Amino acid sequence: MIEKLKNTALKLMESNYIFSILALVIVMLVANGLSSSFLTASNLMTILRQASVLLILSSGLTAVVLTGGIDLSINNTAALVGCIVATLLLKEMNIALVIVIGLAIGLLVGIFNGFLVGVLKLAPFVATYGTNMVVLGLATIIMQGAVIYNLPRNFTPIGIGYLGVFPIPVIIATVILIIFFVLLQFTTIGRDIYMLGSNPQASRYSGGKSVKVTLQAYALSGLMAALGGIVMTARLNAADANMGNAYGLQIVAAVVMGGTSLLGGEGGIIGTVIGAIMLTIIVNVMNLIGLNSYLHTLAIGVMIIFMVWLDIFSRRKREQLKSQKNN
Amino acid sequence: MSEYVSSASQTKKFSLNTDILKRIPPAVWIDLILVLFFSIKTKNFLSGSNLVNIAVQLTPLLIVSCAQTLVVLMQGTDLSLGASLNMVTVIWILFMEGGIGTFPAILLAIGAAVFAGFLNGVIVAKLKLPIFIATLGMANILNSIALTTSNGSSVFYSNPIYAFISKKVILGLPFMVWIGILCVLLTQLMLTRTRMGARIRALGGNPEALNFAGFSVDRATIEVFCVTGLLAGIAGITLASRIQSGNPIAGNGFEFNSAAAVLLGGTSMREGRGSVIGTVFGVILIQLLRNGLVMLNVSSIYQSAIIGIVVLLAIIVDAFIKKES
Repeated sequence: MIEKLKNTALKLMESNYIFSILALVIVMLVANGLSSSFLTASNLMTILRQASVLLILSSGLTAVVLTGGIDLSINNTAALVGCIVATLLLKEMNIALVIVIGLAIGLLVGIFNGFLVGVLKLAPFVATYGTNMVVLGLATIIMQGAVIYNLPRNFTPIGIGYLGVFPIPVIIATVILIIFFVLLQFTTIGRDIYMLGSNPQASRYSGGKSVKVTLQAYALSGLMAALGGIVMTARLNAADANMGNAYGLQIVAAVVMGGTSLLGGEGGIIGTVIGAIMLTIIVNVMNLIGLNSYLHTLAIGVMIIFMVWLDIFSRRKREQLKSQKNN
Repeated sequence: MSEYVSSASQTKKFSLNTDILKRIPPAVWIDLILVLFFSIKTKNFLSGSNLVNIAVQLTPLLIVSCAQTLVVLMQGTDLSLGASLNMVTVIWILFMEGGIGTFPAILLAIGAAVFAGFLNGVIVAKLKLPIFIATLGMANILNSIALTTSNGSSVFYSNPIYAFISKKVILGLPFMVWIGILCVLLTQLMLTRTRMGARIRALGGNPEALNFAGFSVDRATIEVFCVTGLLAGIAGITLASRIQSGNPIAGNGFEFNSAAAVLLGGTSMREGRGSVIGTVFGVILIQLLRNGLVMLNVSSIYQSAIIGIVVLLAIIVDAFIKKES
């Protein structure tokens, strides 16, 4: 009997996200202890609503990080798309057309990044940081320092509307996450992304494949930046050039807290969901108990270090278990 | 096809020249072009007072970039440098306000930055976290300290020390410029002439060899981050002196701008090669652009886009030059 329990425990430890999920449960229990209004249906829905933009933005980054790259231009690409969308909407352009234009711009920025990293072989960190400055600059030029308020009534539901009891941004985020999960786990595109990250040399041998995969990953990231930007704009019912600031490194934090390795090839979209939800919960519960918002970043910083340490620790334990088994 | 062959043979002919060209970091070329462009386009660009102005403006970034060079040589990027600056500017002023005296306050503020660096080193060396993530976490923590202690806004304390550091001219240059020059020279000397420098360079290239040679990789990593923290602390003091206050967001962006300066200066993230001198040219590039655009009366709205485009162009051109080989 005890032997059986032990075996199940060992088996559980072998599954990838068990420690992350445990940590998330603990954070939720602590949050529940801190505030009685945390574990209510309405607050949990609020958390999902607050997390939706972060989830969309970090899903694209997950694909890039899995290739071993990084995309620092996501938050300001989102801002640029938001500003363009808001500007066009004010000109009373058709909403569907505006959204398509917005997504296309994000896709272009992503392909540009993919070109810099995949074809020109620039270091992803600088290349995408350069892009980040350029897209922020373009957003600033378009807005001329102004803020656009009061977007059309038939646009804002994307960010604040409901379909039945479910908020529309949560539905969008869920659909995106499912698509990414399937894409990364069950398609050749996903397999190539993992392969490029775990062994860049081997993929390079197979002709132009690494270039293609890199382009695909950054294009996905740009597309999701655009979608996130559109939802963000609709949620805020406003747009300004600096609206991406709030997300800055949070997107990277969500991905790495979920255990996706910056070296590429390890991790996945489930981890990113855990990371993004955890970040949102931390901010949510600190707001509920009325803590100074300057302390949010302290908690986030500590959690980033703790979660990634936990991931590295559990990975080492899993490998030990595996080698024990083989003996 | 024949075109391709002929161009290939041509590059072979000029290989001796391009070898030398390749060793010059991309920032040097762009710096020369920018100086030429701005001195033709504006009247006072090359005037002594403007050059001194540029030097004062770039000093904090220069010192931070020395620190970033060390981290990039270890194949990482220190994302906590900007936050460290934020914290140092705020707590220095608050310590002075608390009445412990100017110099003890400087020591304490720099000490706090060194301690943050030490923690970075411990997290990277002992917990085995990637540098990027450890310093991302630390950036959040330091920013929180800066924002909480200052309550989110600038803190002031009147003291003649700011003017002394940022304006007092010694041998033709303001004191803080000399601090910057000293930091550059000492960092370069440390990298090239000391055992510690050799260890740092080995960390980027081949850490296993370091262990074989009887040095602890962990110790070397922690050492580097302590030096990084020290430089960030000094940079924070010069920054606070220039803006004559403690500001919890004044250092935002320094972590990225310094990384850009280091890479423009030819230090490579992949090969663990590079120098602080190259970094100086990278820092000059960023500051020349900012200053020149202001002198040209270019609206600040366009600055981010222009600087971003120039940075991208610089690394793209550099990639092409290196590809030619």
